Amino acid sequence: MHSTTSESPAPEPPSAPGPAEPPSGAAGPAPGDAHSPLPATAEQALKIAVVGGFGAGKTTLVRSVSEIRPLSTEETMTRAGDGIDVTDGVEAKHATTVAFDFGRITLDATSVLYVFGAPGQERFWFLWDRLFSGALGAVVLVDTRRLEDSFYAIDRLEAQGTPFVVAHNDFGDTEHTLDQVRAALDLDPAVPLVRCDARVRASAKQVLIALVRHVRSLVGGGAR
Amino acid sequence: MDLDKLTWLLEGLLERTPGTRHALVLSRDGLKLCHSAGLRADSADHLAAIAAGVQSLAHSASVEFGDGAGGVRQAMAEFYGGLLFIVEAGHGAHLAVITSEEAEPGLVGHNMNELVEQMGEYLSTPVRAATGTA
Repeated sequence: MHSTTSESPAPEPPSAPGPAEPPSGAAGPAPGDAHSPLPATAEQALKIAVVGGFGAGKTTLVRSVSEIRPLSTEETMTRAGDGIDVTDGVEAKHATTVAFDFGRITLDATSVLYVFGAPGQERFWFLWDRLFSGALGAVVLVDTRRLEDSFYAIDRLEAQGTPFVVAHNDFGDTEHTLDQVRAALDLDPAVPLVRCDARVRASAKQVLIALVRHVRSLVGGGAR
Repeated sequence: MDLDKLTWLLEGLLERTPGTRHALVLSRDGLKLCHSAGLRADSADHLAAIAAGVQSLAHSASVEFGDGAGGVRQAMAEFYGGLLFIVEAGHGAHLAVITSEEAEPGLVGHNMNELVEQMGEYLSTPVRAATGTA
């Protein structure tokens, strides 16, 4: 359930939030409450990073899945970006993330998932290191109209050995099969590729579930 | 926009404010508009992206913890070897200044705000015209 009034307590983590630090959350009702305060019992914080090219839908995905009002750092795009932030294919885009998006999902009484969305443009890539630090894994969101924009994210995750899944954000593109997308991305067969609609909570959630399953399979199948 | 005039004004700010090293005007979406001569182009690009991110986060802080008036007066970071100051400058632009550790924060802030007033509309960065169905 989306909330517009909730406040996000303590663990504001721009600087290297680790998955190990327990959020010192405000006491509150159980998850699922309209305001979704962090339960006092929360002790395990997990972090997922959402990356991908400019305009792939990262901010939208974080907004869709977050139970709290997400921290968003979208700024209106200015004319200074003409020729740099190219919106071919995403002409309706008028705002862009300049720091990161931050959302939260309470999984159960003890586990909380933090979702960080990265900015897509090259000038903000220096921020990615911090966003990746302590992350369980990453989601690479791709838009088939601008597939090449996701190469950097995939290369970087492969190089640093961060587990990830690729999610094809379906902007009504029905002509490309997932196999075609996989081939175009030259994606390792071991990396899961799913289709999603980042605007739809249930769909965005499936992407996170795919990632968690993938991470679990990497750490030895049955591990909890 | 007269970039030469803006650059000249930035150099003037550095000259009359002890301890200042670099000055940069950036668009809110993190692109440099003009900067003082001593700042290399690559560093200017980097500083523009950093300052846009800081200002955006500072804005979120004001929304969450401010009195509701909105807006950010100034963001500041103090690190080993220097300080970073950022103020809003016109519509859609910010002014960032890097100083040495010896700079006097009150004076830097005062002079930056004075400069913003001088620059006035030179500093505004128009929003992009919608090219599609926006």
